[in-house]
Amino acid sequence: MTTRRRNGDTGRAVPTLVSLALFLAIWSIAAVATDQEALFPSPWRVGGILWREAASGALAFHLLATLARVLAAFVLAMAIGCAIGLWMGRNARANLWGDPWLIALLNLPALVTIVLCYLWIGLTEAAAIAAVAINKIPMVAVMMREGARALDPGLDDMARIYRMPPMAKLRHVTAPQLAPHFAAAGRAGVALIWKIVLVVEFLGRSNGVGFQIHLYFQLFEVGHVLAYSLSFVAVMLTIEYALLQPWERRASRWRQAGLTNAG
Amino acid sequence: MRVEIREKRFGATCVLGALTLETAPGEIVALTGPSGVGKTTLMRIIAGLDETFDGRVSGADRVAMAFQAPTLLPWRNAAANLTLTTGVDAATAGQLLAEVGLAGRDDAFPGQLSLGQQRRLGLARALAAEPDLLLMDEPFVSLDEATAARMRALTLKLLERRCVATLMATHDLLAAAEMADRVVALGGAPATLTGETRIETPRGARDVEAEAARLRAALR
Repeated sequence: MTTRRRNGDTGRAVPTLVSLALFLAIWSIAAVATDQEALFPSPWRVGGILWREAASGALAFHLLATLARVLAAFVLAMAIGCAIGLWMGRNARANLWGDPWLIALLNLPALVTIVLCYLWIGLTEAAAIAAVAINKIPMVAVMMREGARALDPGLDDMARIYRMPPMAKLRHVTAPQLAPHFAAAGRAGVALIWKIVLVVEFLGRSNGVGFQIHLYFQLFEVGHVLAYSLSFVAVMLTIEYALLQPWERRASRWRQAGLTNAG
Repeated sequence: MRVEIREKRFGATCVLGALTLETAPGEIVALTGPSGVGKTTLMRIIAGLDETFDGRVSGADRVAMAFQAPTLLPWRNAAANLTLTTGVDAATAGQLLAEVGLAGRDDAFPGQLSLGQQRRLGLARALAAEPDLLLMDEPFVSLDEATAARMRALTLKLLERRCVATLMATHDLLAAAEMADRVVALGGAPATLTGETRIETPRGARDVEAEAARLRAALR
């Protein structure tokens, strides 16, 4: 089992690495061909900028500022979105009355929420995080509502007959049924949130990757813009591969066991 | 256990009419009748899962139910399916698994078990709850005949050692003839008890085919 999984990992790793190398190669050729260092810098130039920013400590400072905002907005959006989604999924009346609001919020452009939050709350950290969370909450709510609707009534009966304590029921009966929906909402959430966080920083914060991009946009420094955005992409990919995917594999272990050894 | 129903409705349809049913400790009662007649509805009322009916249930405090679908927790292993739901310790769980022929499968997830094994795990869970009343809803359907026969024999063996009243819903008169002390028939719309007969011959000495034929005639 273990060896098979490891083989599967290297089997996926090789094409990923080759594909990334191919991307760098195309970028290098294009940069050399256009010969416009300021407008379209080559990978090694961006790499040099990245190295200097990292050495000065600026890169880590701005990455951490952005990451903290992503984390705060993510936790907030998941908590509130789950609560609303579960409530609407379990309660027909809540769903009937809440649904139009949800649809309206889902279709509210991120930029509008951000601008309104800054106007109403002020150019503060709270406004920035609230704006991002509000953008994400309806999506989490919709996904968790589907999960709550799909809960197995047979297992509910079972838990009731055997008088499982509420906390045990939540942990062993309800939560595992919601886990796939939670994981999907979380993954979609992280992908959406970090992009919105950059916009929020761009418009009204004085640190973070978005702020740096704004700064170098005004200075017309394409190399710096690329260096900051690529480094943050790398951070988010690391989180995806190092945290989210292993957790999902662990949570769905029972499914794999059933597939490989059924009978 | 005693259940007294005056009426049970789903919206405008009256599903169950006036009926009274009692079980005594150690007794196996088979509840027969065509599918869709209301056997499961009656079982759910007795189990306390359905409280919207006119009537009352008494003496059904410790109830366990073996469901038509095994309703196990697919994300927990066999042992945890017993300990987490009924609160028994790991040693008791292991003992019960051995009793239903799943010795050493403590770590298997339900998805790794066959349907027959899942049913046995469901039965082990019901027994782990140490009930006064065991409800079994069509416990032998969708098993092949050999597996069903083994499951019936195992169920009888397990019940023999325990002083538990068993109410078993089944449309299979052969199973009823093999296992039950008493057979009651549910029929009509709204459903009421249309017949009741006791099987006097001890279980070991029964000619199941002949007994089933007698039941069929008696419950007509």
